Amino acid sequence: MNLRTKKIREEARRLLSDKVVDVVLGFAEGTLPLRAAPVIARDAREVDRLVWNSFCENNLARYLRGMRDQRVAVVAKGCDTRAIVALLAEHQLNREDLYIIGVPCEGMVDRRLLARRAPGEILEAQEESNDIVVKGDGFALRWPRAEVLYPSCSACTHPNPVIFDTCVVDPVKAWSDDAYERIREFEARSPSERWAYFQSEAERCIRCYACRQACPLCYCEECFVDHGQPRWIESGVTPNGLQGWLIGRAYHLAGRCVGCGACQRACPMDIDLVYLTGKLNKEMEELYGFEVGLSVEEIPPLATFEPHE
Amino acid sequence: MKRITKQDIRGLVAHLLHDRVVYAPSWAGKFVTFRKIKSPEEIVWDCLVTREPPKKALFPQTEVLLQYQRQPQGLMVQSTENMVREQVIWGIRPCDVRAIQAMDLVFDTSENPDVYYINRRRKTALVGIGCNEPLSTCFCTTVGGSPFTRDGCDLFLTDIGDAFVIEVLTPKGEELVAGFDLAEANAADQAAARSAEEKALARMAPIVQIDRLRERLDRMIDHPFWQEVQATCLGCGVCTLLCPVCYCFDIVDEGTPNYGVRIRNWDSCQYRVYTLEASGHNPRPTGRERVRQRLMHKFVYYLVNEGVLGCVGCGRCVQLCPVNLDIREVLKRIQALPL
Repeated sequence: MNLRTKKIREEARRLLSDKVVDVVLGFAEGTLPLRAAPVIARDAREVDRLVWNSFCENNLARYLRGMRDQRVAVVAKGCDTRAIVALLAEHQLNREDLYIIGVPCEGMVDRRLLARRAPGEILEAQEESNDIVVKGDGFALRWPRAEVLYPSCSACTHPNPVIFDTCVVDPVKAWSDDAYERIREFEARSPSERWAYFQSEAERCIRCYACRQACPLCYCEECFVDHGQPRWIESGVTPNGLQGWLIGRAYHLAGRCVGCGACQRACPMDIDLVYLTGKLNKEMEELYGFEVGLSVEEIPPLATFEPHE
Repeated sequence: MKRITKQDIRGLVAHLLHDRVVYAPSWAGKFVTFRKIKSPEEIVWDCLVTREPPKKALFPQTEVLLQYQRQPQGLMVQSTENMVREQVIWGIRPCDVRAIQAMDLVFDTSENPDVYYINRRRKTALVGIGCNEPLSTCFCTTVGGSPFTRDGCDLFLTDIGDAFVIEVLTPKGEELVAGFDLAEANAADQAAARSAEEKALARMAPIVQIDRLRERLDRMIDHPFWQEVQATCLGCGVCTLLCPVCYCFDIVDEGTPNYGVRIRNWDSCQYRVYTLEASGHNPRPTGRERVRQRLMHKFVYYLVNEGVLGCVGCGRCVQLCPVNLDIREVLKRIQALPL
């Protein structure tokens, strides 16, 4: 058992038995290789299901608004805590009902990248020190973890929890000191290249809304895309409908996206989504000097206005 | 039983492409899915579970039902129901064929024939292929299928290494291979095909006793299980939209007074707005009712209404659920619940 798992379980057991919280929201072993699954532990028996590994790819902050009737301990990596901060700043959560078990994060492994690289179905996956080892029928492959992380993890500048009640291990060093490297590279392309890329990504969209549902900051009671009167965008899988959806969603996350990449990992069609919100975050930093999810007190620029504006 | 080499079969596909639309597993950027192909070279022969099922070839995600246009002489309304060419779904796996058969029972009925679906369906030939090495996420045998079920196919292929054994099963299948001189499969070919089938079946032990499930589910409508199992569900449409059987749709009019279309789009019972009524009332207000609905429809209501299950065990929802909410585990837990 790795140290993070051990500490998470210890803390979860204590919190439940001392009745500090009603439930612990964390990750359990998944049913497939390279997967973990969100789980809600309600008693000490269920605590032993909690794990921490390179596959804890969901942003658990996404569940917290729906659990406001309970006192919740949440296992949270850097991006999860940034989402919690953003939700607190938008008055969506009560800090006193939350207990944050912070987990310094070494990045999550891109399971689809590995699936593409493997010559057959991956039937087994293990973490061995800093490597990921996968096995299947007639093959065994090994990669350094750092080389097979999700793009949003490779670009992560805040792997350590920014808010917590307890932190299970010492802080880790960030992979990156520049969250916008890829955005700048994209900005350097010609408008026609950028348009072609966006079109080819958008055309795969099946409007399952997994991106929206996985996102901790997409919490509107009624999403613009579900409006019938007026209908803001075409309802079908037409170029207008799909592009309208992706752009509309990205704009609603301007300066609100914590860059966790949960949307992209949830997308069953492997659509590049984080570069859209990343670009808008970059604009927000340049315009307002605002980086989301770092301060509960600072009012998000698009949630306020100055009289002279 | 005939045989065709892996080289010659490309010629057969090229021949079909002359006057038919051919859907086949092929690369769409980062994954393999059913797409219209232009050349046999695009076909990916060894992909068992394509990212998307081929259902859109019969039931497009967005389909124009009619269009209207204001013209000097008045409003011109045009139906689109007869605008489909002959098509082939090439390399469809037995689970996806069973899914189409399940959809037939919904759309192709004497009381409520869906002309759009039926028109496509009648013009579609299915070329099935057996699954020599089912994936770990496959569970077709649990829900009454098998990796080599031929039922519903017009042609059926079995990969025997350097060649395919090809079985012509229907008059439609005969049309597809008309003019092609197919060699008879010899005893060794037939033995190889049988062996492939036996090996595949040996890997596919059922995971639950499906015939006992319905009776349990019938007694579970108010069980606390649903509240618990839905707790981590995101409420997205991945499991339903990428399900080969799920057929729900919504009809929408889009346009201006001068021009517009009536379209139908796939819909999903997992969406909040799916059951939202104009009054604001929602009979399935939370994830509990919506997750339960999906399971109940697949394993009870489909059976009651159509006589077959609404799940074919392709495992796409298992592979693609963003939170690894695995339907196989849900079924196992239902089987083990003390009721």
